Amino acid sequence: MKLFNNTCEFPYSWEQVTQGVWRKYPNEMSSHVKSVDVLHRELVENGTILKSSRLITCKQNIPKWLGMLIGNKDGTSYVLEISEVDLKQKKFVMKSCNLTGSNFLKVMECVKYEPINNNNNNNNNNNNNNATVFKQEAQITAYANFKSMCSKIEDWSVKRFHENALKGKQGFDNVLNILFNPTITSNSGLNANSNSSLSNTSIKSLL
Amino acid sequence: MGQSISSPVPVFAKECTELHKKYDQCFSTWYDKEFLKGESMENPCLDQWTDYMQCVNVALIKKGIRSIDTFDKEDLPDNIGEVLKQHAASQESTSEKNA
Repeated sequence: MKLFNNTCEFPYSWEQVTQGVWRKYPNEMSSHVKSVDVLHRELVENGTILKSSRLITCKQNIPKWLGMLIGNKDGTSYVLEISEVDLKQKKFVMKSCNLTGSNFLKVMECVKYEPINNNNNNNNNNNNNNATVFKQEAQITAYANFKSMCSKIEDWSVKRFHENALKGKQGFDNVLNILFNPTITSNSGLNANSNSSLSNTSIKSLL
Repeated sequence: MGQSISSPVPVFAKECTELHKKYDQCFSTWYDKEFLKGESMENPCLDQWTDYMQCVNVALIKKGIRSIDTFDKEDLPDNIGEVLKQHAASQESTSEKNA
């Protein structure tokens, strides 16, 4: 089992970032995400919490040996993403897991978006509301008959996680710039306030 | 808000693209102008979503993927926090042993 923890910031308000999340695909850096469908949407707690389930279809090249092993030759896979936008707490939590190939490789991911100063959420004081913190936890587990094979699968997965991660951050930065900051050219968001090379699209990048 | 992103969001089945677009436009407007301001008690896009979802459900079944009705909370990685805590604890005890 491999684990990831990651944090980075986006220089936009929490409201803007949540708007961006719903408009994130397609972006030129995430060509492996083929489709995003809303399976379920529900408004609860007097309109303060929005629950959503989305089905994300991905397609990308995977090594032949891995394709043979997991019985997935064309690289198409499905990810279920379940999320809650909580207006009162100002929290946007997304949990994802892979639906295909999960007998061999299970990836679970939890992502949270919060305003940078969200400790006093009940006070309307003059906190800096123009930045949003992104936190990510992920767990990758391979199941195979031999421990050495598990390691091989996990190592490949980790490598792919890193390869695609920066692209995902860049893609989302670009989307936010297009939506809220059209004067900035598309590449300038690449390193904006990021202290990590991991992204919020890692699970989609991996499976 | 600045300019919009021009290309449409891709969907699972091509035949559902138009229905998805209608739903998505309804959702985006509602999300930005009502939900985020705390001014909404209900999701007004239910009709658009029902049309679009019926289309997607047919496509899912055609492709041999589970029907949407069968997705449930068991698919949620709810225990991830616990798993991470346990793993961190076991790592600490291992490193203590090694020290």
